[in-house]
Amino acid sequence: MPKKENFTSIFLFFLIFTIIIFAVSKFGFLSLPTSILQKALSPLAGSVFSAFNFFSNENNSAIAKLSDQNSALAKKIINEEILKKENSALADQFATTSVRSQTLLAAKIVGAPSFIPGVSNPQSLIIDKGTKDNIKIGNAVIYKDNLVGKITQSNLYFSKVTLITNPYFSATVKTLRTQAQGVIKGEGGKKIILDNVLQSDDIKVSDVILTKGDQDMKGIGIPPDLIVGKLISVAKKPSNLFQKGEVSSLLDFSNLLTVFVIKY
Amino acid sequence: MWFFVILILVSVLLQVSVTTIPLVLLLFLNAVVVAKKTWIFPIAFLTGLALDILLLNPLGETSLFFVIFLFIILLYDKKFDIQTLPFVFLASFIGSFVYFIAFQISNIFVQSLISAAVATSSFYLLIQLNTFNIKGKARFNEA
Repeated sequence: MPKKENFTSIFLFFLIFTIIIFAVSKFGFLSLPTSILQKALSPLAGSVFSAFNFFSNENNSAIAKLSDQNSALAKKIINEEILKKENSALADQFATTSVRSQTLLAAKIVGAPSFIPGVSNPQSLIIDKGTKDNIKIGNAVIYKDNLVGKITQSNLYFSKVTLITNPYFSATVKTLRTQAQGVIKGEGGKKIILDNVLQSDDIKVSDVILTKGDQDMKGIGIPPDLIVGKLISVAKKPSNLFQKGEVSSLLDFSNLLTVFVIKY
Repeated sequence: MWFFVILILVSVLLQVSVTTIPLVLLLFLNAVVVAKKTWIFPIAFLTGLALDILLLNPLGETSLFFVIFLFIILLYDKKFDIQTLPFVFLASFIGSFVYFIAFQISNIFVQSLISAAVATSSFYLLIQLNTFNIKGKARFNEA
């Protein structure tokens, strides 16, 4: 029988060493070497992601086309509704609309780990744009007017996007039809939970859910009127304080290759 | 050894770009159960750093998890026989479960079960190949 090695001293050495690195990294002292190393290693990860995406997209091209058409139609309906409301507001000499001065920065997805690749939704994305490109934590990420998520971590060259389906994502929203307000929360799967909708508010299945707008004075945050998805179920119980619902995004996050970061 | 390094590289690439299943953790679990050597600590430490860099986690987070996890596995080796399928299944399930909580990954229970199945199957494969002379110890010599 082979003699067992004494591993406690080696464990303690690496434990202390790791804790030191962790502490130094938490204070941001290692951000530059980390960014450079990531820049050097990311082409490999990006290639693996692209290869997987290529094979999973091949089977879903017809579905992807239909999904794109659905998304485009939803966008048209929303634009029409917004236009109607603007006209009505102007006619009544009430609200005025302001054109948002926003610039979109295209970012390539280099990593999107999901439970079962190509089947389940990823929880976060790694994109190839970082603080060097003026990206800030909290910036909204979109694709064709659909909200994808927000930036939660960023270094010099790369950023992490927490998707709207992630349980750690939440945002205030409204319905397009009745302007009923609520809060969306990711659930981990493909669905998103709509909560905190007042019992008196009118919401129904197939209502389009838009962002309410949650930006700070610097413009960082989620702008209003971005598409979150469609309401697919409503749970209204008189005993509950709020109504609940399930929202499905119009996007298939597992097939995205490029997204756009809203910079101000 | 080269085979192990290639496996680590492939697992790291898959884990950072394609799947949330902790393939690297499962690989190290199999390695420590089979080899029971301390050289796994520096490799786990470096691989953890690579994962942190590519997944934009705070540097050292994954290394810390790996080092502590492997230490616990080796501690068990002092009292119990760890080269058994039930141990690998339980260790991979609990390890993955804690990993998913620590790194805020959803669908914890299902993913942990799948991880445990992956780890146990790969350990079973190692036993069948019998490269490390563990067939008898893992109680597979009856067949």
